[in-house]
Amino acid sequence: MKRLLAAAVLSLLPGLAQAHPHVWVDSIVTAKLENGQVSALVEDWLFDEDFSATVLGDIRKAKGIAGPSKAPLNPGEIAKLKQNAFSNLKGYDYFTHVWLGGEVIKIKPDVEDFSARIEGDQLRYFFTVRLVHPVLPKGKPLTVGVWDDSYYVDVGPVKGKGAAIQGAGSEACHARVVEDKVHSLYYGSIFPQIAEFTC
Amino acid sequence: MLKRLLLLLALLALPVAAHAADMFGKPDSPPASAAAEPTAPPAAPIEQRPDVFAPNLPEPFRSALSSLVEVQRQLNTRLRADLRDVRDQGGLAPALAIITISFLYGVFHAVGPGHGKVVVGSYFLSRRSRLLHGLAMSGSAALVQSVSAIILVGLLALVLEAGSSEIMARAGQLEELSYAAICGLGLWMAWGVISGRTCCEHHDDEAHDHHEHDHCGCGHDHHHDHAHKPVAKPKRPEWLQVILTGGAVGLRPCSGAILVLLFTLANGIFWVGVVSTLAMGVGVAITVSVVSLGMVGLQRGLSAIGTERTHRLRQGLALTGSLLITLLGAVQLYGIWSGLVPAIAG
Repeated sequence: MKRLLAAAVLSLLPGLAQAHPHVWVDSIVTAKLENGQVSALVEDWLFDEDFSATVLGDIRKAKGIAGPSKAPLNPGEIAKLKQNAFSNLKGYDYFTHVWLGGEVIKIKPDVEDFSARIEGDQLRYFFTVRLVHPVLPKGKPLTVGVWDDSYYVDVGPVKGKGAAIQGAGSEACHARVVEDKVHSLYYGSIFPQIAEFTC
Repeated sequence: MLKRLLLLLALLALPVAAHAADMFGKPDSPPASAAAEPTAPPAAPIEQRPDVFAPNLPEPFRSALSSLVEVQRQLNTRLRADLRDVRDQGGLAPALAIITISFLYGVFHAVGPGHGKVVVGSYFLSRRSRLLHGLAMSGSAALVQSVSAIILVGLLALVLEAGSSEIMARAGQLEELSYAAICGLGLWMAWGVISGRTCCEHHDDEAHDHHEHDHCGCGHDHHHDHAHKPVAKPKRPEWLQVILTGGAVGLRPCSGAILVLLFTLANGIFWVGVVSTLAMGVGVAITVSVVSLGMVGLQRGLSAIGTERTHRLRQGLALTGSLLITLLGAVQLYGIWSGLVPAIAG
């Protein structure tokens, strides 16, 4: 209710408007088939250089003007990254919105297998989101949109390979990226690109 | 200026506010629903938020806003590539490219929602103003916005070696201060209108000056007395109001600039970030100027065709504008304090 009210206030008052987005993420969503059903989504987020440098600067304190080193992340640093710049997304379902034929599919509150690495100037996250109840997208498509409702972060699928499906039986399934014209973002102006899975 | 700087410094010494934002522009504490039920078993699935979305914006506005976002994305990608070039190779060419791209980014970024255009627009739509006022308010807003980002990052990251989350939290504080100042200035404007000090005398003044000019013009005395030039008396309270309102709007630094500054700082090319931020500011100033000058013009056009020539009506309009600005500041402040909106720099 409070959120709805906030949304109403936000849309009514252009003064509250924020010039967004400020963080960019290239994403790949891979649906995992287990026992013939989609049970989890493996997500791969590649952050822009500004965000990467900023977050990295926090866990690798660099003295003075010299930047943090680009050496591979050690487990302690990955844990720190998760705590500093990931775990808070729990309250936002890790930006992951799942539907089966338009019906909301719940995800588990905690992710599995969180890991991160540095690629050049960019930070890359990997993690697995589990569905509360595995589903088989037969007849109805399973759609997964990764986006930030407030559009502070702009998440978009990597061109040409933003969606994939893996696991036993996945040969009979299809993964593709489609435009979602129902859940528009940023004052109803952006149609997010979402992953669609059918078997 | 010095006063404002001192105020900024004093602010930086304050403890970080509770409603800080994380790196994703989200409140640092878990959202209200999670905080309200701390006893809920951790294994239970999260209550997913209602599947309610704003309706699509009607065309062609939707395409326009989405193209604007796309242009910004491309400029941003380009800016990052140029920043990398400066870091890896140095040289003047990428540095000049950064200035150009930053400037364009500022222009387009400010076209989108935000950047105080509503406050600036309300001000100039509701009262008769000079074009110079429009330029001054837009310019001071953009300048203060750039400088506040540079000081914030420069002081906190470079001198105090603070982390980015603290910088974002401080930016959030500046945002609160900005809204509070807008709120206060709105009231001050309203008082200025009611007391007749800052509004609605332009017509009378001009007429009066011309009148005086006609009368004094006869005497062509050769004293070269510059002090008695028949120029309209500068309205100090109004100028102050214009500059301060611009400053209040701009107090809130832009996250885009902060992130560029942090990136350049992390790569040992902070000065490039400073130049880029200032170039963005010039771009923002141009866009906001277009809005303010447009509103100054629109107001003049309306008052020329309308019957809005009575003093009382003009006063009423200016009062409405002032109170609207107060309301805008108050609502945004309420949004942050109540936790509905995280304090983040836009």
